[in-house]
Amino acid sequence: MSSQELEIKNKYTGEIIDRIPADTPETIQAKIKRIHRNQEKLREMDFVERAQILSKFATRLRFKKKQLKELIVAEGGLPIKYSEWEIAIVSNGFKFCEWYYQFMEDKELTSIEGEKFAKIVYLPEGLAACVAPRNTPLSLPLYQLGANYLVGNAAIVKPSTACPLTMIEAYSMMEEAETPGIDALDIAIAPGRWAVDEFIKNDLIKVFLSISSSHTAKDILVSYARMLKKSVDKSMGVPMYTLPFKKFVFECAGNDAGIIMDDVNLEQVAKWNVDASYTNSGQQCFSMKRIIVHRDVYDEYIECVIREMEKLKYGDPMDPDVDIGPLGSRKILMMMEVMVADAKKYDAKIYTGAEKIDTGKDYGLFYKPTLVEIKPELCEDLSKAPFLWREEAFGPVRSVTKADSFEDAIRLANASNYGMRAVVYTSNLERIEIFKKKLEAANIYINARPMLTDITVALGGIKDSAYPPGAKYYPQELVYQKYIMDQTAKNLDKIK
Amino acid sequence: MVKFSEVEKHSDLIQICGKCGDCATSGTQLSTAKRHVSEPCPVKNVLGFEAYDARGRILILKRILENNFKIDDGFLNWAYTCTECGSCRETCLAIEGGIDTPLLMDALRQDLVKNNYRLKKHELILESIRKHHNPYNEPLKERFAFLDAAKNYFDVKNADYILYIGCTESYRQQNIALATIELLEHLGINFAILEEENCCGSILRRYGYEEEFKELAKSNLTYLNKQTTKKIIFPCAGCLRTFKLDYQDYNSTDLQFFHLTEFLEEFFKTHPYNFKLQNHKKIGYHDPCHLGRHVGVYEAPRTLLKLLENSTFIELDALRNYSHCCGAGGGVKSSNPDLAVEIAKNRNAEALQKAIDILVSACPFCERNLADGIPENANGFMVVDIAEILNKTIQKELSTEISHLGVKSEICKQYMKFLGQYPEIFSDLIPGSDMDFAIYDSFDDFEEEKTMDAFHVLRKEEGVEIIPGKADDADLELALSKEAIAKLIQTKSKEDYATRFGDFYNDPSFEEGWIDFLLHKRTKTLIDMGYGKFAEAAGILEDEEDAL
Repeated sequence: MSSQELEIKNKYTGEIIDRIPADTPETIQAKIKRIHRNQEKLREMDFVERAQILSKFATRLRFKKKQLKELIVAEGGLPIKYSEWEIAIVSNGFKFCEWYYQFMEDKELTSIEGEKFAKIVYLPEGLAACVAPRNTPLSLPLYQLGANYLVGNAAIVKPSTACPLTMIEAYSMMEEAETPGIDALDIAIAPGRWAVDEFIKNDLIKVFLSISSSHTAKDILVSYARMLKKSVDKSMGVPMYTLPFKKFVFECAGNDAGIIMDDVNLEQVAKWNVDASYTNSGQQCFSMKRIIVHRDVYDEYIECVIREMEKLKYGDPMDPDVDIGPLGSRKILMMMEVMVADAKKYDAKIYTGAEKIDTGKDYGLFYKPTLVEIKPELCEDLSKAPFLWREEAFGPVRSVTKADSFEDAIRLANASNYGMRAVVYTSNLERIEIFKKKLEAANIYINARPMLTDITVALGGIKDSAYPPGAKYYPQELVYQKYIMDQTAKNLDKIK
Repeated sequence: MVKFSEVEKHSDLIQICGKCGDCATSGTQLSTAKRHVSEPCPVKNVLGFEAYDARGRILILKRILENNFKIDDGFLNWAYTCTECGSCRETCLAIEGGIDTPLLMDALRQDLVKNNYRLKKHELILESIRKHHNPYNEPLKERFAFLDAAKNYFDVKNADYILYIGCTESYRQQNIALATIELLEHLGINFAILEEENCCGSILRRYGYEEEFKELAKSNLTYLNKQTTKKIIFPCAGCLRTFKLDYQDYNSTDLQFFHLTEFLEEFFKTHPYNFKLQNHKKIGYHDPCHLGRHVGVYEAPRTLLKLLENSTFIELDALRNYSHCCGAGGGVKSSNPDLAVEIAKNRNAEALQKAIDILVSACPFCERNLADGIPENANGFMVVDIAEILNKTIQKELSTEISHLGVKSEICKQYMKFLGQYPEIFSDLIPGSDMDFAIYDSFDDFEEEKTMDAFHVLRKEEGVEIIPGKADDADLELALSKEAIAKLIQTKSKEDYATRFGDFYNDPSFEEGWIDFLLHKRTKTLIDMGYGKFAEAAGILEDEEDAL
């Protein structure tokens, strides 16, 4: 493949922001080799030193905030209001990244006999290849890069080619700052799936960290399996795979349930609900997608939500009052139309929305925030449930379903193949404990504000939302545990 | 021949025991299991043998009433292992209110004393009470030595209440006495302390010295009744129980006895007050036997603890009348100190199992014994008295001390003076926190660590001190450009200051001004010191909702 040029367009105006050269398989392989060679430069520093460097880099991000925000808005279509959050999550994360050290401190173990010869230490896993999604031009790719840097892994990060400029800018800021160990980090600008294949076939890459849909993640495993198959050596009469294991970490889709019980201030919760569901036009994995409302307050709550939704302003994402920016791609617009059309086949009531602005181009595309009723009985057999219930709506269409009781709300929330987050609003203290226990998701938010940027906010999911399952912090996923039994003090006399 | 005349008086009680074992056993077999209580006897739970629970004790008492019972050292030791907590009474279904085993043990101990089985260590305590008016063999004149200007507190004539400190708080747990006095003063209560406060004699009764106890009770009541103030507040649950219950037979006065928690509960009904913990904690409450089971005060301490903002109140499983004893009661702390500590460990384990950070008690004896029984790996788990936790959360007015010596620049002096107006900015930090404020001429200077001028703010117990130069071991450095400071000192209120401060951090500019900070300690440590809260109040961490 020969080198090609990518045109990055403003998602609202269609204006070309920049033309950048793309990588080829050869340049990607060369980058991997280079960062691998320089990995030791990272490991010459300890965790605390690397944490301090990232903390200082957070200051640079703050100084460049205005410029970065404008770039995020232009190439990502994110409203400028929301781009603040996009930067805050990563600049706070970097500023306080030493906080993660608590998860990787040496652990001294005490044996049953009370001896203390064994311990667990955490070591960097090795070179990581990361793939970031389109909805977050800065936070996720930079977080992937930073987490690897923090633990001492060389890393190559592939931002989405729909919006790579902010990440390129951040990387060059790190270069300008002469960040120690920057030679062990790189970014890959590669359109299409072939870049992933280049990553997984390379033996130097030990960790593959990808944020994508669950289906894309499974596709990647299939490619890896094919490569494994191809690597079989039969010269000794038995098949031996020459391609080594890799660690795969997938952050995938969310189809989060948000439960609203009958004992809450509906106006307040509706306000948070609309933020949680429609921020960034709902193009957010942890967005509240399946709204489940107790029957006794259902009608009143729908009214409150619609009132809040009507306040959402859409249009030019540079306008500080705009809440809903253009969609990231025509594919998303089509998906929203398909999901709403499919729901109509089930006689679903469309409470509001289901209108689009289609410029006929690949920019300036809008889908009006939409709320669709899905009847609870349709959710019993998942294979027959509406598409909107079964799959992640990565755009501004949300479903709302009536629950008979709190047990029914739990049943509905768990009727999904996904399990990233689950959100509950109730003032019943006893039930809160049951929700915490029974909801099938890796992250449970009870009566919490949406869009928290707190450093404790975890990623991860169960079911099809993440692999390996569970709530996680990236730095924790990028190290392995080493067990050390050192009985020198006890046995030196004997073995000398 | 030894005569057990006191025990004999209760032979009907001894006969009525059906030996069901509800006073000691556990699990589903226990008829009282449905009351969510198991293993009620704290002594049996440690020592294991039947002889130490109520059923066993009653069997032994039955035996001694028969002829030819020989008293040996083992028997004497056994007689003083009961904490007399009364937990067994609560689970006993033999008669209404349960068989009163503590009463039987008191009777036995009286018989032992009457028959001249007097233990040396008990005799020493008796002598100390006679000579020094306290059981600790401490000089009487040092009773209030822990108080500065104790004299100022002796004006009983003009006081509304008498605060009866007690021997344990005067000589051992002075921390509780001081916390109580400071708390009452802070709340503006007009109280006084008795110059000739005497031992309540609780320990005499627990050891069976009934005659001596009676004498002391009468003289204490006479002395108290002479005072113009009739309302007595006890911070010690042991003293309260003694005055309220054990003195009953000798008391013909109209004196009113309250525990500190009862008094405060009433007081806050008409004087609402906010208590706020600096860092969020999970709080548990240990019911002292003398306050709860014996006197019936369960609600008041709970009401008070629920006033604490920034805390979660967690009940232990064994609570109220089914609460497990701390192990110090019935004279066990002085007779069998190791046993007392083992019992305390069990009680602490119940709190640790619930992930409680602070276990609060309302009795100096419980606090002392539970604190002795904190396991090594308890990760900061604490036992405190209710007066201490309330006192600690009093919103004290912070004052500032500033010394300008050695400050180079005018802007630095002005900023120090400016901050001096608002010591409350630092109220979330724990005492001992020390942070640098460093001023830079330019951002390049900051990167090259060329400080233009600096001072540090030391959070003290009751205020802050603003001191020129950097601290020797600062927790963190707040770096500010001189342009930022010039604008910050123009602000007219604390709120405006916080807003501007936050803006300079979140939207810094080389020309207009900037703020940054460098952490010199572990992030987690700094959060625990209160810096997270400080940053939030200072506008550095944005309110998430506003960010949207």
